[in-house]
Amino acid sequence: MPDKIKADIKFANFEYQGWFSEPIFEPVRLFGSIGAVYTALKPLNISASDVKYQSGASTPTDTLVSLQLAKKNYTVNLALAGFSFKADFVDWSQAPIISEIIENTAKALNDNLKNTMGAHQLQINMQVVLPGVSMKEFTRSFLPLIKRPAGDVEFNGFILHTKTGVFLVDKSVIHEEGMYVRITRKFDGKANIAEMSKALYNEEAWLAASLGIEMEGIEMQ
Amino acid sequence: MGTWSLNLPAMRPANRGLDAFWTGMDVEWPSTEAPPENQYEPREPVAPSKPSQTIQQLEERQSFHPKQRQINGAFDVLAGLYRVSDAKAVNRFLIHRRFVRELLFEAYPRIKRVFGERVHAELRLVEDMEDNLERLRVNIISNDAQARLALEQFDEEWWLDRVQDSEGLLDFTLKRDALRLE
Repeated sequence: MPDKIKADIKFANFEYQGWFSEPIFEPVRLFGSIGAVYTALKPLNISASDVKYQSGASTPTDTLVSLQLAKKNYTVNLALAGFSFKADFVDWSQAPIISEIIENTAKALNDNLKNTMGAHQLQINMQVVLPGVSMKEFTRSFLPLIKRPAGDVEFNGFILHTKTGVFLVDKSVIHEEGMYVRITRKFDGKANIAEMSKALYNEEAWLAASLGIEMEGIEMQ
Repeated sequence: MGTWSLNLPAMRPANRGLDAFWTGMDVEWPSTEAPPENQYEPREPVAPSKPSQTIQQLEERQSFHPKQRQINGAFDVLAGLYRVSDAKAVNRFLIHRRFVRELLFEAYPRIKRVFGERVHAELRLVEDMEDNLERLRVNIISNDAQARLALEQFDEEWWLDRVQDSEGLLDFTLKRDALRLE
């Protein structure tokens, strides 16, 4: 079996979206819950200046309030339909603290709004470079039998839809010969963050194994 | 019958579209090569919309956030949670020790739960004189009379189960806050 290609992850970002079973339509109720979320995030050194009120929300999914954490690397966005979490420059070592933030925010909102989560979505976005291997070379074996003039097409990625998510591998626009990878995984409202995190990890491990690449901190479980 | 031909519009490579969408950046697409003769009818080149930045400009901008930024990302987050003494040395220590970083991320909320929200935790690199090995020490800074009991609770509830994962490179101790002696 050929050696796996060690991937160089140039950038990785994580996004979580959690949607309430029933969206709330009164902004005043959400504003009334900010204190509870703030208290839940207080152990993570949040201060009042980290809370930002957004203007111009026109739909229930638009952010009304953002809370920034960890030197602005983490952001929790609150909306009438649910909440989201975004983190830049992530790796899997940060999973425990990210899970804590998502879990505590969800609990604070649900307790305060007398609501439950109806659905969750977790997503990883990565800019990956395979040192010494061009994207064209790397994906040659995926090239389908499309009759085109020689040299006219290149196969530079794929989109794979599963019952619970999407894998997208694309040519990177940032890094020449690099690739952009997106892994999206959806869950129903009952799933807890520990099982969602584990499932997302396994999806990344599966993709890495399927492509024959090695990513730091990722091993098939 | 005339020659079969395709009259394709000059278009952006579709496979780059989502990537650009995600990055939220408008990128100048490289011009496509002219197709071989007799394959396609000649077409008028379509000028791309005026880009806000070219790929080169994009890469130059990226150089302000190079690979190092991704490597330092986890440390940056840790530094937002813990106080760090000699950040450069601690970052160097942590950079290739993902397992220690993971323990620190796991420990932080537990420290706050057990010792109280107001407690501070500090990362400091210490050198063991016996084996000449560098270790990372987490000083939990507290003047609370119950802090020792809290440390025992912290050990029993979590740290003793995870200590072997640190490969002897991490420890947690109590430190009195000299500026707030009661």
